[in-house]
Amino acid sequence: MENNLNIKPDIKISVNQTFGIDSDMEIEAFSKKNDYVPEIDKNYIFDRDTTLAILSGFAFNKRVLIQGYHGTGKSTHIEQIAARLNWPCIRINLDSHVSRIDLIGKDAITLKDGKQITEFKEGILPWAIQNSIALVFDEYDAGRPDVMFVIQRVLEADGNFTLLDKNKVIKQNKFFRLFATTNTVGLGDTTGLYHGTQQINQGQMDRWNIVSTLNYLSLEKEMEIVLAKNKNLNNAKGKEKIANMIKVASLTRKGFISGDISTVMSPRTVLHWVENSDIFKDTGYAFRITFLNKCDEVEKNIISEYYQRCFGEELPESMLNIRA
Amino acid sequence: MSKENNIKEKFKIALISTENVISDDYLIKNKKSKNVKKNIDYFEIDTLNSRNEFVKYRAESDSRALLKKFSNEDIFKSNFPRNSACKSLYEFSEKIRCELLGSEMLKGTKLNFLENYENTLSKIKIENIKSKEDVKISEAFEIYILKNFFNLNINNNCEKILSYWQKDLKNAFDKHVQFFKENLQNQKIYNSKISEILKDMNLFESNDETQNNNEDQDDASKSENNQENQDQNSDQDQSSQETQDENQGIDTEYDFSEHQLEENLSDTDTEKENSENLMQKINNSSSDLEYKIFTTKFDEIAKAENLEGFDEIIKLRKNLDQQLVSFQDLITKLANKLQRQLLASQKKGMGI
Repeated sequence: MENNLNIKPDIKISVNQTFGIDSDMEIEAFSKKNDYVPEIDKNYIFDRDTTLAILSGFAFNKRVLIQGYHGTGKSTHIEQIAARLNWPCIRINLDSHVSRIDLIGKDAITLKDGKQITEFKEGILPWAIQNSIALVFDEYDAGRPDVMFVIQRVLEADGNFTLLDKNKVIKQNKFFRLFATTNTVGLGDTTGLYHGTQQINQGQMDRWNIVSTLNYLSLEKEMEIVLAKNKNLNNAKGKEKIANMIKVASLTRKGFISGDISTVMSPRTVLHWVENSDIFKDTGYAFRITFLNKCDEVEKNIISEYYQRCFGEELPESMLNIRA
Repeated sequence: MSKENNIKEKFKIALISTENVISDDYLIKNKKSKNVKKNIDYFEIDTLNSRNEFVKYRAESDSRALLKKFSNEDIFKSNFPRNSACKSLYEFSEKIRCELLGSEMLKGTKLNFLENYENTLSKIKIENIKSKEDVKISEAFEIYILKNFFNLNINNNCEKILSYWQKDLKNAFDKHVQFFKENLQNQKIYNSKISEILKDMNLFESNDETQNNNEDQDDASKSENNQENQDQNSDQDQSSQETQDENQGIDTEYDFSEHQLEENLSDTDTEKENSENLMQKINNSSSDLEYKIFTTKFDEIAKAENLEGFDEIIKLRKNLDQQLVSFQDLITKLANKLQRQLLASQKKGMGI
């Protein structure tokens, strides 16, 4: 890892021009790109509210937590904004295997002057804090409680980080930014979808300045996103097909909320379905391998009915075909 | 449960769910809702022997859902024609309006309607029809609407029926068809225009109304029966659905089809006297035509506690627990599902 990313923003960019959002805001950015800056996806569609929340994080050093269902583009949103600002960005998935020593650092045996010595190697967190990095914690609500307390101090905008192993107090770089994405709001999972998530200490939740929700978008918005990634479908027939796919997804989301089914189609699932449909040249088959086969056996009939309403076609799992 | 009933039950569940999500009423309703007609799961499936029957139930379910989604009851009532002869025509026009909106929205729904109406119209017979008096205007009106709004090709029998009222309907409606198609989204304009046209038709309160009243009385008595059956069967349906869910994923020799198990769960680890009660009910579904009860005069219901001694009951309970170990995964799955449904119900109650 490159030791010194102590760079400073040297330009200002217009939010309106860069992100297509109706705002007069101007934001600091870097003129030069480096290895840690994500690649720009030129076709990415920005959600206004989420984008403004994240930009506030970059501009005013606010701690921003993005919450929402899976597959809605929470992490990608942060990455794409960082990409356009040329802001170095690192994502860490806070799954239950990540421990304190992974974040803080650990003793490691190194060779120095031909001798083996034990040296403390700083972890990702001390390194990021000292550099102009946007650090993103994914699956924030899946982090182990002991790990979460490590992050607590850093959550304060001017919070210094005490590295006990080196008797060192680390000051935050002025352009260090911290973000997180989560499926729940730290109160535990009430949907049954997100096994493995934990309740987040309320003292810690209190330290997040901005909590923004990014859930399912309207049909028009979602269609825009899908068409942006599948330009070959940007015709009347293609748009009708995508609209029907999104309608199926929408019905599954409503069915899930009502407790009739246990799985939902995320926007990511819709994208996969479109891709698979293109590969196999069969929308129904692509639907089955993308989503239906992941569903509970008893719920396949219900989802098949949803599919029939949107496409006017029978799946093998529909009751009409089973009865026959 | 026989295979036939199993399929009917699964299809009914699928239809109820589809109806909920299409109508946007996808938060769980209170099943004891006073308004029976709005209670989505009151319908029963008689037979599913052919494709036409599947399509019929789908179309009826979609129609109910769309009526719920697109029809505002207050607007509907405020434009209700005073002439009771127009009642069925007005109601049918509103139903068609909602179905047309739904057809624009969902391709499969449109196909269901078209196929169902074609099947229905193809069954119309005209042997007893000799004059205009033998043809109800509501029948002719329905054919007229389906021909002009759904663009259905009608057969000769339907043409004949329509011909008796063709002049009246043509004079009243032809010049407004385009207007109605352009104002499907605006219920107020649509309903008021229909009401105005029907009023101008000066339909007499004739046989048509008497027949309609008889049909309404039949409908009312049917709905009362449905209400009673629904109240009796609602708990049984819920537990039979759970039983059916259990049956789906289990590779087991046990047949739970005739029995429902209700269990108050408690901590089985405790050695203290527990309060678990295991009751067994026989599922007396009124739709079960294979077995007819001669009399219930000599029936007896006895609790297990009175049949066996305490020690024996404990022993039987442990035996049951052992046998249920293999169902633990299924129980967990059902518990999660119930939790989600309870949460949806709670959110509905809180108005979220």
